Amino acid sequence: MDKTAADIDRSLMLAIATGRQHALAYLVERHGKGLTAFVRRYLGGSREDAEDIVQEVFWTVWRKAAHFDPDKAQVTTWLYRIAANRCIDVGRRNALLRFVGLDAMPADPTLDEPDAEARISGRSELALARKGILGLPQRQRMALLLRAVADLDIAEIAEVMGATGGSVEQLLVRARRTLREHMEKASGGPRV
Amino acid sequence: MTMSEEEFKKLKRRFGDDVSTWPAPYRRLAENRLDEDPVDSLVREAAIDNVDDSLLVRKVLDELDANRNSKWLWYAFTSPRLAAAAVLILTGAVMMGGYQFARVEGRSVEASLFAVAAGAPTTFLFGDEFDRTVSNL
Repeated sequence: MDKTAADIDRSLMLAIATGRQHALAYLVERHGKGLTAFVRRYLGGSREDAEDIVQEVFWTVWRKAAHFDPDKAQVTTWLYRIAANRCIDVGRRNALLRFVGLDAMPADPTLDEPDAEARISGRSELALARKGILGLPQRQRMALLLRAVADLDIAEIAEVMGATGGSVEQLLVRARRTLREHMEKASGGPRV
Repeated sequence: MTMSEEEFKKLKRRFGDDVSTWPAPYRRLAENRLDEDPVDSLVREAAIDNVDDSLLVRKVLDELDANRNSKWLWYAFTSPRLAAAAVLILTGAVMMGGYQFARVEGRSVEASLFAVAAGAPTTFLFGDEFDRTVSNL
């Protein structure tokens, strides 16, 4: 992560720790979109469901800002770790609900058809990619989203996932290969 | 992967001229790094929705206000210090109540005993059944 962006986040965290709401609002503005994308593509639910989880993440940030140690972690890493843990909890709950026959978080309705943006620009590969991402094994999906959406490096992804750098590299290699194969199969030839 | 000129200008107004200070997804979109794996850029483009960020900010702040009220109430019940204080106050109240009750009750017993000592019939204190039992002895 870039140094200056990290500095801005760190100063925002200090302000949040002293109870300044406008600092939290700016942190949401900076990271809300990325976190929502991460949560939504990891869990595969609707945007509203993802936003609910992101709200919980920022509520946790507000409560625990004073405990955040900037020497131990980057703000981005911390934010995505909270979101990842919450996603894992929600994923387990959804799996349990599905197991007992109750419909958990409904699947993203936009997965079955290309969204408006994709239709307009004729880029249906976005819809295919979304399906492919959701089809990846959970840990591969998480590693790839943390890399692509959060722009975390290998060490940071390992920190968020509680894994080693080597295993994260393996997860990324497998995830990219699987997604590439999915795209090729769906489109009838090499695309990415 | 690129972003439109209009979107770039909008983000510049929000996060400043220096792209390196922008948060991750926007920075990546703006920089359009060439050394990046094309799968990663496709994933980013597929993952990020064009949504109104201010709406999320508003929702988070509203949630914050709502949570702050309810969670402080919850905190009041779950905080060990506050729980200990509540137990102390409750114990004190029970002790004071018990003492008051015992004092009132004690006074009436004392008054009855004084009355018997002063020659009042024991029925005053124990009822007719006691007198009958005593007289049969």
